[in-house]
Amino acid sequence: MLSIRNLQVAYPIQGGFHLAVRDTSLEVAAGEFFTLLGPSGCGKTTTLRSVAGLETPTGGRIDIGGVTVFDGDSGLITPPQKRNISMVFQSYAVWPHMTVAQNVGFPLESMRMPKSEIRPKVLETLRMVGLDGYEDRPATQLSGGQQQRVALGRALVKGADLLLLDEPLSNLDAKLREQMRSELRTLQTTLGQTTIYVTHDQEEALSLSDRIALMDGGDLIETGTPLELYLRPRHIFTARFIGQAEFIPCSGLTRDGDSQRAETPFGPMLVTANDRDEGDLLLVRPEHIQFADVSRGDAPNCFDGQVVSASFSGKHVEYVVAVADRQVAVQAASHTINKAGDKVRLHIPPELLVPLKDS
Amino acid sequence: MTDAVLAPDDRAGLSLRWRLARWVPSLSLGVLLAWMVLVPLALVLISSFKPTGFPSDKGWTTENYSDVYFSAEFWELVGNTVQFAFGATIMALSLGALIAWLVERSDLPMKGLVRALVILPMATPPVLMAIGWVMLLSPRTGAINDLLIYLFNLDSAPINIYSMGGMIFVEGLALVPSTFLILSPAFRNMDPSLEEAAFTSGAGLFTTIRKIFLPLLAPTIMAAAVFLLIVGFLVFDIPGTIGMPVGIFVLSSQVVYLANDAPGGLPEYGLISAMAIFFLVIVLTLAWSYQRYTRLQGQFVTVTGKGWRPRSVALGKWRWPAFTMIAVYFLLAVAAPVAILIWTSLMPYQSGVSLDMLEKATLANHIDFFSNRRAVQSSINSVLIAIAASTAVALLSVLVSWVVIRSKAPGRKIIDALSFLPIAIPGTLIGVGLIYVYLTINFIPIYGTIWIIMIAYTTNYLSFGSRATHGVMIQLHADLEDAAKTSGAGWWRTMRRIIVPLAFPAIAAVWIWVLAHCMRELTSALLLAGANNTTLPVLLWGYWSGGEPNKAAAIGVWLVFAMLICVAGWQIMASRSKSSGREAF
Repeated sequence: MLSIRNLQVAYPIQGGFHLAVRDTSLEVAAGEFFTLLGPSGCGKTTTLRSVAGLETPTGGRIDIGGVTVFDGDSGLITPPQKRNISMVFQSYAVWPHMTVAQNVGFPLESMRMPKSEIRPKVLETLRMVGLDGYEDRPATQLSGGQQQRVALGRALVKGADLLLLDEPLSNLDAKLREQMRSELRTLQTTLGQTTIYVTHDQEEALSLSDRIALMDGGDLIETGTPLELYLRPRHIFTARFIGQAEFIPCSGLTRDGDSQRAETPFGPMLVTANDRDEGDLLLVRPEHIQFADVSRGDAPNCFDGQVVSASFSGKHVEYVVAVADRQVAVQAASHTINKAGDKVRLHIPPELLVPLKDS
Repeated sequence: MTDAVLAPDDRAGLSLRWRLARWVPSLSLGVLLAWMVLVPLALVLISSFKPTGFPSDKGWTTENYSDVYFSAEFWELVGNTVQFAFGATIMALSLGALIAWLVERSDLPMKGLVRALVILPMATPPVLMAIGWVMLLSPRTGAINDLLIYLFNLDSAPINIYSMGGMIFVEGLALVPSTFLILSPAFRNMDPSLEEAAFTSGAGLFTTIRKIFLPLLAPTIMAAAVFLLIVGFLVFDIPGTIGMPVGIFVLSSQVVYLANDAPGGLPEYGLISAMAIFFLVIVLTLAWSYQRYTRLQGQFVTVTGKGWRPRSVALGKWRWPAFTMIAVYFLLAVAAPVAILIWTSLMPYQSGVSLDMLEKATLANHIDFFSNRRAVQSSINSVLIAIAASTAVALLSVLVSWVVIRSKAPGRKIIDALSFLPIAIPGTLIGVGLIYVYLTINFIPIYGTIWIIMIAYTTNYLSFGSRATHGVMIQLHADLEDAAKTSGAGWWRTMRRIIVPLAFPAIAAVWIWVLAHCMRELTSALLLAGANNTTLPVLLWGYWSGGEPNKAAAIGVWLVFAMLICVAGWQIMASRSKSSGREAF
């Protein structure tokens, strides 16, 4: 559906060019909910705006639905209005001089659809985004959440092949954001529209997306499903950016049949379910570390430690545990009862350890 | 963010057609603007080095410069001009800012009325305001002087309008509406949460104004101050009316004097051009700093797709004193000068205000105005010129602002500079420059017609127009336009349905502002006047300086009347557009 090859976006700055996006390639399948995730300035919005045609890339190629809309080699550039896309902006960009219906009907008007056909289509779309009865309200008399819905309706109304969303939820308050998030996902599933979603919020990205592309400093770091990126990241940046991470230095990673062994400051560790043969760090998520029975003997990946601090936060308890001169963060369900100073035994499940290169 | 720096090898691949297309907007606008602005200036520069002062004549000389710059008289002139410009700026800025804040940000009573009336002084051309105040405060027949002498039994007139103070006073009054119009949108559009944040941090009203309001608005206020200074440097009408008869000259009145009443009988174009170059340098410096402040102003993008309602500060016991102050301003700027004009227009000869004279009241001057063919022709000329020029300015301004602020067209900075440059070109200079241009290039036969004046006005007011539309374009979040593009709208539809409607109040304001200023403009029209293109202000000036104040007053009364109709019509138009969420000034 969307194919981006070797995209490069450079801005002239003093003494040369700043590369907002460098050599980024990705493929998005039809009907996919695809998220561009990364910290601010990583190039995710620039990539999205290049797809929309609002930004002129300096190189590469973009195809939408098999049609080339930008080609740096031949100099082909299709202006935004001729691309089969629609877009929702972070600022909503609801036109203040129009009513709700005029806002939502504008894309149809631009397609030169007869007025008599526009109205029913607009009403249907408004029902879809939960704004029935609001059609003749001036856009300025809406709350933030309602304006967001108008912007969404305006993007959905013409049924473009590709829906582009630029941090659409970041201006909403937390509760509304969660509600809109699930509505958005439902809508997208029902309509089956290919969606490119830009956000810096990892939780949003994980819960919404079929696949995520993680970007940093203009580079595409890694692409994968939310589970892959969370459980089996290939880059240390991914492990750090998504979720909490504990890194245990390791050396001498050697394969022994289906499992691997490595030396760590805690002692030897077993790694299973892993296809990578290199790494100088072992990643483990704090919620995957378990408290084991202190009396348990020499089971693999069990280590003695002492609780340094425990803080209760409702759903779970955050512990810091000292093991062999190092401190490890452990997250456990709220019924665990360990206090600071308690001697504990930690179990790090071998199938949840991921070897990574520290670079 | 990594700062990857790379050699520019990239754009080479883009097709020639695409690269050429990118140049179209700036190139076509650029050629037009260069013709309007640069060509007259170049000819002025050339003529300043000509012995005859005429650009197409033979020979070169620097004598014009030595004549001008080595005379003590000239530097005295400069001193006068500086004093005049600063005085008027300080007065207009403090009064204008105060009124703008009261109207936009306080619970002043009858705000709507004040907002509607504040543009009223624009309906009284400065030349009329000056004439009115001469009639009120002249030491010989001034009505207020007479009254004061009578009340306090004085020997002589206590106030002399024919002074630097008098000139500054009237100019200050005349500049308040422009100050208000520049400042009030900024006051209104400032996000109230910034102030609320200050209040909730425990700051009082005055601390908030001093610590939050003023610093945030400093760029706007500085921009307004520089704008006023420039006007003060350039303006002719008021110093011409009040200062010239008693020999208090500023630069602009000296230029008009040299052009129209030079001792030798022939215009001293060489000296005028040499002097104009000085003008240009000073005002360009000011214009450059204005540009800097407005750029700073651009850093506060204040209107997004979200809306808010500005909050008002409660004035408490100061509500009515504040209102009274504004009322006094209207009395001084409009009511008093217009009243004395009406009185004088009904008199057979110049006289003080008294009951005895009331018996002699006559409509002869008014009847003369409507039956005199020259007067009728001048009225038609004025209206045609004003409508053509204001429409041209409004269209050009929107295009210029879009290219400069929104498009990524190369060369847009040059367009910006070209459209702003006219602010540094006084009406006198535009007048002289256009004389050179259209006398030299006689295949465009517009010399001596109304069209040469229309071109002068379009050039002159383009800087104001484009600044006003720039402001709006900056405040319109770019997403609003991008959203139209991604909704499938092309350039024309985006302009027509999104940009123009959103910028409509500003465009309407530009149109009416230019219309009103064209109707009342005197300087360029005076320099470009021939037998067939006399405008109303030129005719009025002729009567006034020819010693027929009563006829001049009659014309003035009708000129004010015509301008009032313009302003009222615009108010109705603007309030109609409110229904769609737009706010008029």
